[in-house]
Amino acid sequence: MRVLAIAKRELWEILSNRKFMIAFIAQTLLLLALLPAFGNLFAEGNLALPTPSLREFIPLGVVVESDDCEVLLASLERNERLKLYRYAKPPDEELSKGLIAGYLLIPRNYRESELSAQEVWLFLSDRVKSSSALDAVRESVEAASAELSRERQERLRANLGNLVTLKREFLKPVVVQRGGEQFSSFFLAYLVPLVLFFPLFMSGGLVIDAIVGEKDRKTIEALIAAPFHRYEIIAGKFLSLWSFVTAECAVWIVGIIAIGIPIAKPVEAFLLLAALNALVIAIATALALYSRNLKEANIALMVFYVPLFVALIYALTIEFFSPREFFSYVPFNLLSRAVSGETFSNSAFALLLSVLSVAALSVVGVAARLSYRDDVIFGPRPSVIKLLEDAIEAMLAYKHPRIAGIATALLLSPAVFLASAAIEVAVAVGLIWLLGYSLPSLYLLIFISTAVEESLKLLPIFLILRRKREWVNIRSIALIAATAGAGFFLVETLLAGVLASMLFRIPFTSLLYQRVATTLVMHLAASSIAGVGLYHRGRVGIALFTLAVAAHALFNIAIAGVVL
Amino acid sequence: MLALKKKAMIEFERVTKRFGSLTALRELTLSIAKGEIFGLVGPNGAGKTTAIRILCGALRPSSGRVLVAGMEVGKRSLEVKRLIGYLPEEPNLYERMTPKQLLRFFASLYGVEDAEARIEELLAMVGMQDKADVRIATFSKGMRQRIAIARALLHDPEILILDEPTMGLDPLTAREIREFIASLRGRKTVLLCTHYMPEAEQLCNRLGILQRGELVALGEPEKLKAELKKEGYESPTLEDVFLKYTRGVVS
Repeated sequence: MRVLAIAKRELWEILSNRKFMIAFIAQTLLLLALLPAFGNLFAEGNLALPTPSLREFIPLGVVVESDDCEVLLASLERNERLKLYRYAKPPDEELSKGLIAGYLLIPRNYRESELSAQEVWLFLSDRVKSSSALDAVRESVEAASAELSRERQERLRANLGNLVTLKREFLKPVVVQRGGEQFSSFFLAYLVPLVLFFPLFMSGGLVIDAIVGEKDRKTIEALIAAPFHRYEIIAGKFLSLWSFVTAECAVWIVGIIAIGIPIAKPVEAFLLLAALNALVIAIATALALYSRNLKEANIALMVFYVPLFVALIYALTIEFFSPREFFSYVPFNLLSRAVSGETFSNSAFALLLSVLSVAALSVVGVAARLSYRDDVIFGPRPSVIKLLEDAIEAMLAYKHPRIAGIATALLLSPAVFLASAAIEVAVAVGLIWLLGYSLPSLYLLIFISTAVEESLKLLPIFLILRRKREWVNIRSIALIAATAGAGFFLVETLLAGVLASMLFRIPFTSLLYQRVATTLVMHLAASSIAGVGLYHRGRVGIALFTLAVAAHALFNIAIAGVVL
Repeated sequence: MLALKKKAMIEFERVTKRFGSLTALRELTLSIAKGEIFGLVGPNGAGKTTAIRILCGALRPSSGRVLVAGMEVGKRSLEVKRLIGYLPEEPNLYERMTPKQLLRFFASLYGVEDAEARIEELLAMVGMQDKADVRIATFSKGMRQRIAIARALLHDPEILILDEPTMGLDPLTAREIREFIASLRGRKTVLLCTHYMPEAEQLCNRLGILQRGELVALGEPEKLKAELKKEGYESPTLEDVFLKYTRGVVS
């Protein structure tokens, strides 16, 4: 009830702010007036833009006239995004009905056994997915061409250019039909989602006013002296900010639909926005609470919102122009798909909602915890390092040493990974400078890196042994050390997965499965052995630590061998 | 002496508060009896506001403890807070609200029964009933102070903590507020922080002088002055007492 009383007052504060409300109403009206104009512009314009795609999402016809095209066909079949339909003759009717995104014609004169350059023709629809089809087919053709070039290079020992080229027949504006009206897929999948994020990006001012404003005006003193817990103040404020911004999103969704712009899955779009709002507002609340004054809060939130906005633009651009599997789990992209009607996996949607909600609640918890600190509310403001130290101290002080150790190991994982990565990069640069790009420098780097990783992963074990040695046994230590290994693996896999997906188009999930089956096992085993080594100390300890480093290094050498 | 005769309502037991390397309050031990008006005086930065904030539960002591009506502040904070009405140094109120809206909000937080009648009563008491529906943003400092006093009294607390209640007010308003505080004597326990020595002399049963976080003097105003007289000062004032303990000299 007290949370609701605070939430109600905060909402009242927002709604009674005339300047803000006038700006909000004007923005909404302006937006609803301008959006249809943009819609028409893109529908009638000459923009050729691809639409997003998932596994077997692009229906593509293939007309095979040639009897010598195995490499190209195999390459097309390997392309996970394409759903291939074989036709004996050009499927113009299917194309005109929009049943396929386009068709690839492999002409009679296409012969892979010949040395001359070969051409295939791609006919694209004027409806959805044509540009995604172009993108996907180009990828397969280039792969086939590279394979053929390699074969011939080996056969002839000569350098060859690309053997197969793609001739694109036509590419018209990508348009989706909704209730008799036409909308550019760029407009629906890019601009409309972008607009729906506006309330979220405008929430910073509200958060600053509600949190730092209270500190700055010193009205917080009377609140803190009132008979309720501080977490109730944070929860009430968060609730009001979140509900206002989410209601704003709902108004925009309804408004956009009301003016005739279709949103394919409005409920899903709303739920995604609500969950994302919760996380962003929770982080902004924690940042604002940590800030000393309005000026500092403005800077902190700008530092938070600007990269968030860049990430949004980047994700939507990737979604639109060059889809990657990883982005199936990015909220910005899922919202784009919910608006434009592109399919997305229900499990990814449910997973994302759960992760966002849990993360938001966790961050609100962190903010509530911060509000109990006298130095955060009244100053002098503690450093981030001090906050981390205190958090570790609080965890170590927990009465169950095993849980304390596990929590500490997980909390330290990102810091351990980042420190380890920084040292490893420095070592790599040093070794290359000293020994150049050579096999010995690679092996040396692998050994030093594994020693660094295994040493840093022992940090939580060191802390728990220093505080609670008499309460922990060897099994607890092995478990805590394994958790440190798992935490390290998790951070490493997440970052590696994102990079691999973005840079090399390696599917995130396949990388995850692969690493869980191999690298995770290695991390768990090596960390446990090293942890038990630290517990034993002495010669046995050194021997076990050396064993852990050796096992880890050999594993990395084996992986390096496979990669090279 | 009053503290020994009557039941202690507020007790500071060796309370220390550190902010990083700065010690704002050092081993403060103090007892305030029920119904007493106790003055806490000291120069700026002496630790008065820190002591008050610890008593309100806004700050936690680094060591020691504070008891209110026998309850430890940190352990039974909600019950303790219900006993306390707090007037901060600056009457910072929500500017967009009217007095009525503000008092309604705090009444809901404190769970005040029959809130509307109580709000009317308090607004009449502080002479603000005709401004009940006017935005606080338009009020003078004196008017804000009156509303802040009404807010502090809203739940009819046993203890009132008043931090510089008359600072920056015109003489007439300051006088009215002093008269109001005096009227609480015997009914409420009041902890009054002030820089203004005549005010402390006029209102307080006892005084504590804080200097650099330490309680350097404690006693009834007359006794503190008498002690100074014994040391050879002619007709010392309370200001002389204050100067002696805070600067080591008498003007």
